[in-house]
Amino acid sequence: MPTSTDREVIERAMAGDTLAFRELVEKHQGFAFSVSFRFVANTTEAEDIAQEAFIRLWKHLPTYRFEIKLTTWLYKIVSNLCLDYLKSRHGRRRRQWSTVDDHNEVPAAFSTDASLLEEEFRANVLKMTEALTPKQKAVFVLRDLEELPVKEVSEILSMSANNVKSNLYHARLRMGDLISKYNLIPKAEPL
Amino acid sequence: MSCSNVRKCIYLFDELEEEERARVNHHFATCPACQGVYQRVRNEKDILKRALVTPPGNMNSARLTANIMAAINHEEEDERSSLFDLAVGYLLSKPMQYSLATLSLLLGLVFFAEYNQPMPLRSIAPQVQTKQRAAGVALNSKMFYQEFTRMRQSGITTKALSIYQCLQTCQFHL
Repeated sequence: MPTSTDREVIERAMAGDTLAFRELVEKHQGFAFSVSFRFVANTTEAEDIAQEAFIRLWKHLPTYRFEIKLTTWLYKIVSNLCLDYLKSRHGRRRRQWSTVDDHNEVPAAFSTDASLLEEEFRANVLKMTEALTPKQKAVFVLRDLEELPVKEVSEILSMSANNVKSNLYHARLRMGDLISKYNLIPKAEPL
Repeated sequence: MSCSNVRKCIYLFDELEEEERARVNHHFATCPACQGVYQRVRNEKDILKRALVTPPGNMNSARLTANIMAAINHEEEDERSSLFDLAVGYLLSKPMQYSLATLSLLLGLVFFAEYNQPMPLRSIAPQVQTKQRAAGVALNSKMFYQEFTRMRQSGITTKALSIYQCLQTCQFHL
């Protein structure tokens, strides 16, 4: 539930006050951008999605109900936009271009600078997430990276809790396989 | 609990119910292989968190805010202009044109019928009004002439006074 100050700002924005809405944008744009970046792994696309999310938020703000957290609502808008993007032709083309085999070209171990090594490692792991299906990626981002409870993830993605868990299981399994495949940690012996 | 069931549960360990988690923990105590898988999955999770949880810092906050606000203002303008276009479009639409033409025709017919009607109202009313107006003009002229004569006799030059001033004086005397 929003605090009294938040509520006041939201109410002003709901009444059409653009200055109040600007306050909301400044407060939540960082998180909207970071969520979309984890989905699409591209700064320009992530900024575009964050921008579109706030435009949609502005359009639908008069119908906002205070029983729902504004962040949950924003998560829902951003996630839907990201899923649309991933399902789109452009998104599919991007995923085709960055196949998992690309990781062999930039092995993190070849770098010597520590910060560069870390940056490459992060970039490679981010690329690995592109091997997931859009739904798997959505639950993985929201549950494991944003650390939202399963109930909230299921609300955001309009999925049942069991469906969320099923996608989460496959996403973690796939990511684990990829991490082992590219020797980030040794793989356990099979059963 | 079998090892294959436990290994499925390992990937969803944090999402398990308390009871199920206790059973998995009990299995770990007797199965070092599953315990090893559990450790590996935890390590994978740590690696992913280390790599991906840190928010990307290359966002230009000021530019993003400016873009969002500009887009919203643009949307608002679009909405206003679309409402105007809608109103103009409605006025210029064929049904609206036909309706206005019919209304004009009806008003013309009513006016024509009223004008040609030999009713006493039309023929008498102007006469009454004319009489009243004529009486008013005669009265004003008489008062003006009296005042003009009085001022002339008393030696006041009429050039300095306007008709309006004369009439004001007449009203004062009345």
